[in-house]
Amino acid sequence: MDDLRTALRNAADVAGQQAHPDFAAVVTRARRRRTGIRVVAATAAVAVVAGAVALVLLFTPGPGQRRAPVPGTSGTPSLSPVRGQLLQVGGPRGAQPRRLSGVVTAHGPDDAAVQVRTGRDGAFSLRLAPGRWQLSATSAQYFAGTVPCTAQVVVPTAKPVTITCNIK
Amino acid sequence: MPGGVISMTTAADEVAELYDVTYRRLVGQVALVAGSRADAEECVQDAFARLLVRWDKVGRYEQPEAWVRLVAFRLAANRRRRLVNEAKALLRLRATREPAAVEQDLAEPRIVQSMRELAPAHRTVLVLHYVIGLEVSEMADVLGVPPGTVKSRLARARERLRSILDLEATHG
Repeated sequence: MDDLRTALRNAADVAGQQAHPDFAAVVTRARRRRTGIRVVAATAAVAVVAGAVALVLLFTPGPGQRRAPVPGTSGTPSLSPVRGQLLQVGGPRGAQPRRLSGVVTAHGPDDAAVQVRTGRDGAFSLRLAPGRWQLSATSAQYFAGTVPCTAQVVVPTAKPVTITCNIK
Repeated sequence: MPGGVISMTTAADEVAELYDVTYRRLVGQVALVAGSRADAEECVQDAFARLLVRWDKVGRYEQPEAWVRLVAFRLAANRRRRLVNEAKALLRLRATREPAAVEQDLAEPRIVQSMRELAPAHRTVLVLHYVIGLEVSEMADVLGVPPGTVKSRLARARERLRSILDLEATHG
């Protein structure tokens, strides 16, 4: 067992042999990793927390549903209105969520895609057919729009659901 | 009149001091569990950032370093789980993107490469026992599992690691 102990201890020593960064820089970087964007809306909830980026969508599948053709899908399924808001969350302790303008894109079945631009207050609304959608949001105010949030959600959702995914 | 110095330390000063003393050691230990030094550094740094906001409580512990180590181990396990889930999601979506290749440092000791082939729980008990020097009962307390579980994990981890190393020696 001693050879294993020695080998593992030596390996740990070797792996630990590097200059360590300044503590203040480490804390700043770790907090930045937790900063994120969040999209919020009405009744039911689908939340996506994405590593450094957080995206939360709340769906309203209730009133206002009507039948309408959906690009790329057969038949005339009813559309569920989705209203939301894009927010940046996280950062230093006590920081309040910040409303961001940006673009929310939903990729649905059969390559259907819906894109909507949010208002200055981050508010947006779109209508989606039932099914599985891939949602993503970017904001020019958040890492110059280079860091997207993506999540897979099912529309309409019967009750609040929380989905967690991570994006590096 | 005799002179004197009154020093006041803040939580940040105390955590920074612990960081300076333990950072390299912790990165070395966590690297064996995380599978890479880069991942280990990120996990240890995140653990220290968490320590800063919990210092009022953790600072009173006998060994705050052990708390940071455990948090970093858990972050490393979460990271691995996340990568596995992402890979599964990509497969489900039939994504054409190639999964990120695991970086291999050719200069790293053979045992580090072999550790990567073990399950995270097995890596953890090996590090806790052989590197940090904890006994079975202490590991059971730290990990929150029965001593019997620790013993069996340790035995299996040892056996598996030895078989990997023997295999490499035969073919290498």
